[in-house]
Amino acid sequence: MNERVSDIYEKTRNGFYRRYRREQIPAETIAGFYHSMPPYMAVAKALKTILQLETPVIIPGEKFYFTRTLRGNAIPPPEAGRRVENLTPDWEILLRDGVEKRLELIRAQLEKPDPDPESIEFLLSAHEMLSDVITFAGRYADAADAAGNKEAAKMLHKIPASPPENMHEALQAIFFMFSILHLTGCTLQGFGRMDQYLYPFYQHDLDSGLLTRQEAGELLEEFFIMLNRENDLYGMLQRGDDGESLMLGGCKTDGSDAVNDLTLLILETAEKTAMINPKINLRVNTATAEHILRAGLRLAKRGLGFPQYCNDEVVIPALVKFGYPLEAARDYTVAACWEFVVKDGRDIPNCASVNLALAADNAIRTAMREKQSFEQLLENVKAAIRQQVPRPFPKLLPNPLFSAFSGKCLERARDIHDGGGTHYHYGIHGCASSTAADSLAAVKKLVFDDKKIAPEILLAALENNFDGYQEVRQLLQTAPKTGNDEQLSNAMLNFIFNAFADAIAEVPPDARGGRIRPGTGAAQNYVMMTQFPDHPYYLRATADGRKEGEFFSSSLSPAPGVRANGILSIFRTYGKLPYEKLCNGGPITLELSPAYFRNPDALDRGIQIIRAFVLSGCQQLQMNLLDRETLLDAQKNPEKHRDLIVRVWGWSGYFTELDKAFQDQIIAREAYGA
Amino acid sequence: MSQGIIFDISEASIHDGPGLRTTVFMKGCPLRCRWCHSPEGQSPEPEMLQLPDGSQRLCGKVYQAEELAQYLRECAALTPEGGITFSGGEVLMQAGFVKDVLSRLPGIHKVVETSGAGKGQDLLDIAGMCDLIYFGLKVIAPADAMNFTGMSSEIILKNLHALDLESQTEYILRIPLIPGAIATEKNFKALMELTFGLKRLRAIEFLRANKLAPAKYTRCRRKFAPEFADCRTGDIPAFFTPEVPFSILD
Repeated sequence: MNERVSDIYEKTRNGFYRRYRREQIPAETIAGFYHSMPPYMAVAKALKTILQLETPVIIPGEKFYFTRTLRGNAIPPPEAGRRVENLTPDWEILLRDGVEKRLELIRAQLEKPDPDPESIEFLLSAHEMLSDVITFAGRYADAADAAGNKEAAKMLHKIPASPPENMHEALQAIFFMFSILHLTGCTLQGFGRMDQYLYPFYQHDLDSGLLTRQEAGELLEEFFIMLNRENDLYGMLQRGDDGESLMLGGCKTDGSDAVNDLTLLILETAEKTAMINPKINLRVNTATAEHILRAGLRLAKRGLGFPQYCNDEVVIPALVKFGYPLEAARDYTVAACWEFVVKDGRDIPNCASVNLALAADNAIRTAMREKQSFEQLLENVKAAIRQQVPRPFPKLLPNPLFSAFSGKCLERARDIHDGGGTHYHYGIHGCASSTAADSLAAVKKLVFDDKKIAPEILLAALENNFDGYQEVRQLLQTAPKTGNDEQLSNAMLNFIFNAFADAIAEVPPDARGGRIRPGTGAAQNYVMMTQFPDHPYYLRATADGRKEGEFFSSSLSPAPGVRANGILSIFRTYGKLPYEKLCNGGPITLELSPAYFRNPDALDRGIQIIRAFVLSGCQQLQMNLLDRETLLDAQKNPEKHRDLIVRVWGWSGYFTELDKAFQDQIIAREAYGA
Repeated sequence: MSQGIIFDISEASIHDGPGLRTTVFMKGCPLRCRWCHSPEGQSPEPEMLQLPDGSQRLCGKVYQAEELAQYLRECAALTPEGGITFSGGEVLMQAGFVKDVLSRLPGIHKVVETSGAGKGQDLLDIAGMCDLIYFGLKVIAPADAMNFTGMSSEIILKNLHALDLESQTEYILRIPLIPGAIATEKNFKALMELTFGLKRLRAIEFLRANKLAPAKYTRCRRKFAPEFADCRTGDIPAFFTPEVPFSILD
């Protein structure tokens, strides 16, 4: 990083820019709009009010323009409907058209004969919001003029109203619109396939001599740092849980290789800035070039918890099988965490979570109490899963500004919540799968097959959290465990996910044709469902020997305390899952020890680990660096480790800023590859 | 079908040959090297390990040849640029089993790591079935070898020469830098002299002493008492200039 960019980095880390936040977003006034006006009017009125309160800030020496001057969150009241979240605007539309052309399209639509009242409401609202964006950019331009900053003024008079013509303008357009979308309440936004949509601008700048590769890299560095400026306002559960995922690599819509030099430059830039945003995802397949994997490994070595890898050879067929068109599937990106999303949709990829271990535990306790057969027990697991599957068809809140940059909403004159999009599906996480499978495997082996534990003894052990049943617990721990590619635990894991997927497939589609996509992620539930007894899906002691209060693992990973034979056994285990039914995503969470990366061959070997992941037929992978000693020291001496970053689940955060329960879950993970 | 006893399997290992290796550690060794960093690999019988948290773990699992071969084939299928490595303990102590498993791994890159302490014919047979041998040479002078490894080096040196003369398989010497025992002036001189007589030696790789060794002895309920030194790594003297390339592995 050059001196100017390092200075912006330091100020960002020190919270310097928060001094510009002078006023609070008037949450009650905003809520009032939603309560007193039709939703289309309210959403536009809310944005107008907020933008009028915002004060343009032009900071000398910076190349991207927008700094929040309002504190707080612009979240519409929940009863107004589900806001847009976990989706990626189609940035290509913004870069192709700019805002003015979208306004022209709206006006043309309004002039069509026999207008539909719903369409008119939507179009008028979209027109007002887009116009307000231009007005607001104009105020920024005026402020730049007043500050004598000619470069900024030139940019802001043009962008985002007109289409950008170079990489700097393109990134400013995205940054400005991204920031304003946050002010509509749209959150967990993604940046999509940046190496694809930005590439023409990059190529143009290099060809015309406007930028060198290094200068393009510096521009990206500054842009990436900007994505960390306001993220204390954007986070959901913890700081860092704010989406901002970026996808690289993979294939084009015609199936050809999409990797280009920007793929590499973005990986290199993320390694240099080393901040929690943007979260880098890398689509891979059997033919992914070695230099890209190597750059990915170098980034992993930096210890930020990304890239997260997606195996195109498994993901795309699953999306197609679910019903997405092939071209849309080939153009997939991820939502905030890992959920695979396509461009032209209003999917809600993380609607709810099913605690698979709880379903298994309920069935096990019933079967022990009522002396049922193992077959009956498995039937009960299916029923218990079915009970947890919600009918997640919420009322959706319109967002005409987002709609203006998504699919064919303007062409169809329909908001994305109301027919503007093409896909309206829902995602449900299936969490605690290894604990579920290990519990069933232990019961099958020790209670039913070997008869070493009597049903009433197991029940008593579980009810007493193994107090006084230490021997029972030790026996349970000897049963086959998920992650070792053993027949019994594999069979139970596959049973669990098939039961989960089948239960979900039984749910009839909603009025919009929305169906549910089962996934394999755990998200925050490894803490919420194990540390908070009031949680409706709280998990007590389980038959794998896990005591109450102990965690379960993050997404797909052997249960805490289980040390698998190794990385290949983990891939072989998870490579056997029925991914064609599990298209919502959820990564294998694999931690590498610091010793692994100290070896001079670490990158070469890492490339082969990624190749093994693809060959094994697994779907998604996080390969993080876990330095337990450092994390323990950071708990004791947080002031010494303020820049220490860890992967928490679908996002990375600064370790010392996390709640202790999340810190502890991470510390309890197994690290491989020493 | 034969069966064998194994004390560990390491997947995705990065020290045991080209590419990503799955390494099988055979249990049982005729040597008693005082610095041995795998004391749990010495006895050919299963044994209980005492873990630091107070719990115990059974070390030593018996595999049927085909059972192990299938596991290894599945691992190797995921690592086309790597392969399978057999280490120990001492592979030659279970030569029949190792040959049986090797014969079930066609088309897979195979490496065998041995101290050479075993039957010469077994070493030659095994060498003929694999792509590379790591020959773990230690103390060269026979009497010193008896002192430090519990066994004279005569058989080992004889087997090394037989491997050099009679086998087509490439081999690399791997030598731990144990101060006072291996990393001595006397041993380096003997090593240089020895390597001048070897025609097909590809390289020498020195290994740093394993700092974790003492903890592993505690787990085996034994005392780590090498008597001669701590676990520092010895230096390579300036006069050591063999004809083959040498390096220190990290």
